[in-house]
Amino acid sequence: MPLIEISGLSITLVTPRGNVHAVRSLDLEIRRGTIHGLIGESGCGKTITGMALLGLLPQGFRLAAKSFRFDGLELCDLAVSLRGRRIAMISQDPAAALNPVLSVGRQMDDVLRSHGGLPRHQRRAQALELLAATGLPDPLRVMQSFPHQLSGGMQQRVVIAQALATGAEFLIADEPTTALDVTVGAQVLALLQRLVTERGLTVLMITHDMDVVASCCDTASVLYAGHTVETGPVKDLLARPHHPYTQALLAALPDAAPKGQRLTTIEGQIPPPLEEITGCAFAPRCPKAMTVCRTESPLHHTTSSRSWSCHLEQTNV
Amino acid sequence: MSEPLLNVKDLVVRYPRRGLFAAPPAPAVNAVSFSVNPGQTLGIVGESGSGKSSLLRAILRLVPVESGTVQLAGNDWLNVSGAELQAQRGDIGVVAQNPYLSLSPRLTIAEIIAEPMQAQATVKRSQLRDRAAEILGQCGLPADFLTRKARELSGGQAQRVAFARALATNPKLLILDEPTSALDVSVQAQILNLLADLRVKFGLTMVFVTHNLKVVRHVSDTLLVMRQGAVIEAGLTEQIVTNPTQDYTRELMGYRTESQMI
Amino acid sequence: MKAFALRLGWAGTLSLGIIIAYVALAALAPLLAPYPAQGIGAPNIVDKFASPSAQYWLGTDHLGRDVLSRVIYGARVSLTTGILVVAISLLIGLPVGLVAGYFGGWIDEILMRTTDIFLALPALLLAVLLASALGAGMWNCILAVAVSWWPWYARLARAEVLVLRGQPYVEAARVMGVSNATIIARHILPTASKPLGVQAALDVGPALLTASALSFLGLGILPPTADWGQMVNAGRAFFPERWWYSTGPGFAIFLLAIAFSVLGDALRDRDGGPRHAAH
Repeated sequence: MPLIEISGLSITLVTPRGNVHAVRSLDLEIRRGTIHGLIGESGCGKTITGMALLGLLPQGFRLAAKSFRFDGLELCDLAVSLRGRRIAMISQDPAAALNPVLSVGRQMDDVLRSHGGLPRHQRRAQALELLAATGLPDPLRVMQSFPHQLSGGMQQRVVIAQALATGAEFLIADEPTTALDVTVGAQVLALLQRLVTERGLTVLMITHDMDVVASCCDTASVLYAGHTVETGPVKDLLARPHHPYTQALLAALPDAAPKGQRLTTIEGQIPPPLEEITGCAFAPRCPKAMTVCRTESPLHHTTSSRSWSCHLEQTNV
Repeated sequence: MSEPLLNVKDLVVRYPRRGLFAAPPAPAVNAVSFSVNPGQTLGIVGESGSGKSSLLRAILRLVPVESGTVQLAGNDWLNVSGAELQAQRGDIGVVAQNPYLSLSPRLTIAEIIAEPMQAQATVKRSQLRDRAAEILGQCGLPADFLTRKARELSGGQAQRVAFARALATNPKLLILDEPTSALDVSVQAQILNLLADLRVKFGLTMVFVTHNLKVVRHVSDTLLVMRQGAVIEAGLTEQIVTNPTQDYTRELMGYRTESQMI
Repeated sequence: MKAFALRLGWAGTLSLGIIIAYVALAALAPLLAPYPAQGIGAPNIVDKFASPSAQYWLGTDHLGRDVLSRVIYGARVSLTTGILVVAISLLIGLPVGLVAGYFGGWIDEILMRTTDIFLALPALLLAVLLASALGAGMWNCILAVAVSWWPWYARLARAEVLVLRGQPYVEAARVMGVSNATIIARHILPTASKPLGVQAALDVGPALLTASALSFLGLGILPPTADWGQMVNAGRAFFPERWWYSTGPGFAIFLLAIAFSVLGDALRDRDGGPRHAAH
């Protein structure tokens, strides 16, 4: 049984001007002990999906789904959220996730005390162990430090250590490397991969960066305007994208064309979130669109490992 | 070989010490030298704290220089001052990272593009609007955008306006400071294509600063890799990218493992 | 207007209403005052120290003048003083703060250290010293308060400019060769003037309060012109037997001061408002 099973998820904000469709039809399945990438450009609904999993949807948003399950539990039915117990989150800005006036040691202890009730000296030992597990070089000194005394990369490690301290088995990482330098970001990604192998952690990696997905994810889904358009193992997905949007996105990367040659662009804009969509959401911008794409919802294709939604049988093999 | 348009020699930028008794801080830019020939594009890559921003600000005369020289088209650019400096600033166009911050929220697009032309008095008042429309068109936006404000535009459209403003005074040199870093991948591709078009159309000489080696590889002829205020690698872009001499440069290539790198 | 009132909350809206009522009272004083002549100062000895009644709602003073009429006319003097104090302070403080913040360096040092000298002395004490040196009278009183007031605007303006000067669009203008004067006029002043304007409008209350304090000490507006502070002081000699003499003007000051204070809080709550209150 996969750890995360989501199908037909929609998240809508009801306003006087109409319904704002943050997520329209999202399917997501994550196996235990893997890193799954959620790829999309701004406005595709990737961040709000993470918030929904955490039970942190802002007021006014309505969630509907055929299934929205974590470890077989229907999250919609749960009275309490699993946040802080089985699900944890790291964000783009680690400094904002830490209290600036408390030492790292104190903040680690606060988390441990509310999760297990070990005596104090054992909590201290465990905090040191967890900080060391995230690859911080001098855990003792880090314990005594305040967040502003640490670099961005070290802060992100402390946030990861805190997530481990809650005993969470599922980690939502929302653009965890975007605010970091490339070299530091690479270390954070390597750390996450190590935690997956060593501790059996499962990670949802929310990102717009194909390089992040290519370097650390096992499987990935591509989102467009609140729809999951394509899912599959990362290597296969990036090498042989089936959906025209994924193809266009990869062709737009600056290393897709040699210097001097033009990059492929995607003309037009994403559909406004207030708009109701008939047919395929990508059809107005799709170079391969047919008449049927504008009127009928796309067909759902599945193979043993891949799935995608498109009227075309297979567009690029 | 033609004379370089921009020639920087032994440039040192050091910010003032914090307190009276504090030791002077390490230079933000430490003896950096490079040159850019007309029609060429120089890429500068580095992470935060590499000194690339300080270097840019020094070339733009926004921070004082401790020592070294900067020549623009053969003239001593650092010793120009007063009204002469203001007039010659028209020779350098700048595009910054975030168009929503670098375009005034209060002005219309027409006013924004007209501003450098008014400052340089290069265009007659009656022709400002026509010229603004023309340059905006060259940057890929129709004239009906002139009456809008920056916040009504998408990120890509706003960045096109920033390009139009930078090119309004026909600069000799275009400085690009992370011009695509705040944009989505598909929009980044549009802006990089625009840059290629403009380069051909205007024969632009450019300095392209970024943290993204892949972007710089797509646009630049020559490349500087900066770390901790100093240039650690310099030369032809293709050569550095395919065969870096420094491990650090290899790390900058991004998250993919080496086997995936071409 | 309705949306604006809603965003202020009921207390803020009520305060705004009270302030508007004062302004209306001041503007329409000749029509609203029961005895306009006495409001201006004409004595009416016959009715000396009449207690509040249907004829004189707030009683009469030692010269038999209707206290209500004089309170209404006092609103004219007080509001004028308050507005002029703020206007003069802005006229001095705004340019000082703009120049100091924009150019920085030694210009900033000289201007702001000068400003600090004024700030080092308690504002009221400085105003009292100046007023006693200049002599009593409305204009001297306004000048005395304004001199102790402008440094706050210089500071506020400087703080705004420091933030704006670092904005990328302001730097972009500099890099394009736009002149300093144009940058200040076009990019800095319009944005900085919004919080300053709100602050100035709110300061009319405290400013007129300070001016009233000077009048109370006999250093401000001279009789026969009606002024709240001066009336409270005059009535003090006859307190508590003739309590109404001081009570009317005292309550007028009290209500207006509270209204300005509550409105200020409401505006700050609404949109962050000015970054710090002047007093």
